[in-house]
Amino acid sequence: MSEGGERPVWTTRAERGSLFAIRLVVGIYKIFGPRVVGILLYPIAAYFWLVAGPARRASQAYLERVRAFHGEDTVGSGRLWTFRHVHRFSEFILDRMCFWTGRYESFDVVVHGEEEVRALLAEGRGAMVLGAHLGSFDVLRVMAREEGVRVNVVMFTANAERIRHMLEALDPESSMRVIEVDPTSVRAAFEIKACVDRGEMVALLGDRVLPGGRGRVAHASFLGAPAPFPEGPFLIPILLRLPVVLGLAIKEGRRRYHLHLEVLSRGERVPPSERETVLRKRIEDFAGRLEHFVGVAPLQWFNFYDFWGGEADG
Amino acid sequence: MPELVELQQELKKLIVESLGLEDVRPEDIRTSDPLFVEGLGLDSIDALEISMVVEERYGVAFGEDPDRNREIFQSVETLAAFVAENRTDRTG
Repeated sequence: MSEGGERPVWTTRAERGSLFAIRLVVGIYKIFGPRVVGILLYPIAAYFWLVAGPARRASQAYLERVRAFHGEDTVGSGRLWTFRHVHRFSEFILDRMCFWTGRYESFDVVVHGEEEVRALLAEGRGAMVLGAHLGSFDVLRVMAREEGVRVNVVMFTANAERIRHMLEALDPESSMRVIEVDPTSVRAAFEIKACVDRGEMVALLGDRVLPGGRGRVAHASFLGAPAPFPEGPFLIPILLRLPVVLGLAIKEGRRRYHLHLEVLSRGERVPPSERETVLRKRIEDFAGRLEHFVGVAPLQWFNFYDFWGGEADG
Repeated sequence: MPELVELQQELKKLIVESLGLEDVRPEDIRTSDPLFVEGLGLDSIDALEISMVVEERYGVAFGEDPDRNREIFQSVETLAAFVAENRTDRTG
């Protein structure tokens, strides 16, 4: 981050505003259903697009990188496209509400690669699911429900608080558990370990560097330039000797999700001497897969900050 | 109790070695100092790593209770006390 002052201000403000907006939309959603909210998304997205200048510029810069890397015909990068990007994000928040209220039947989920994952889960060792801010992470719930596995989502504290509010407002009996991560607390590590010991899945997002901790960041090439990735989501499964499954759900049309599952590692023991190399390779592999899927669905990647420049606020 | 002191020294060495701490020597770690945040400044992932190494070396098992674990990992002193009480790697 070259200019430390700018970032926290806009994100804090935007998040405060979005908390209110979320409450409002949840209320409307409960009374009028998804169709009405779908219409409302246009003014909401337009408002966000107008006020969040840095997010708009980040979107623009990102879309240009996608074009440069994957080709000019993948996506546009002008104002219309940054608006589409923001609008797409709001649409995914709506879908998220649908998932959280248990309206799974609203969507058609096509799972790719489930046999391999099922075989892995049958071993009863649990697994780490590595996701990204791409498409909808909640689609994993559908799979978890069908397979009868519990998914624990690890979230940064500031976010967890907000998300939990939303979850509680929508679905008081939600079966998904949220593990809060305060980077300075020992607690989360043991919760993760306990979940895994019970054969459950632990889900983490691998494409956002959060503040705090002791600077566990590694750079990997992403869309043609080195970008910082958090080491934590990659290091934890190495330490716990956990299998890692990539889980990304990309939307096609209005109702269909493609959940792509790929076994990235089988949880073999990594000797301390090889740890650095293995860690680096795994982050690079992840960045490579993400790069691929971002090319498939450019408007479904939701990191509205200078991804190549530094850490996010949450 | 010299045995406990010895165990404390051993744990300090284990912590420094397994985490690859470059600027810290085992003798720099004070037995009663907090390991995390304000003390050594270790984080959640370090805790995980230490717990794995300690479980393996001493045959102890850290349970699921996060609050209990937080107590155990308070300092080298508390960790050593836990290991001394629960170790299964030697008889007697």
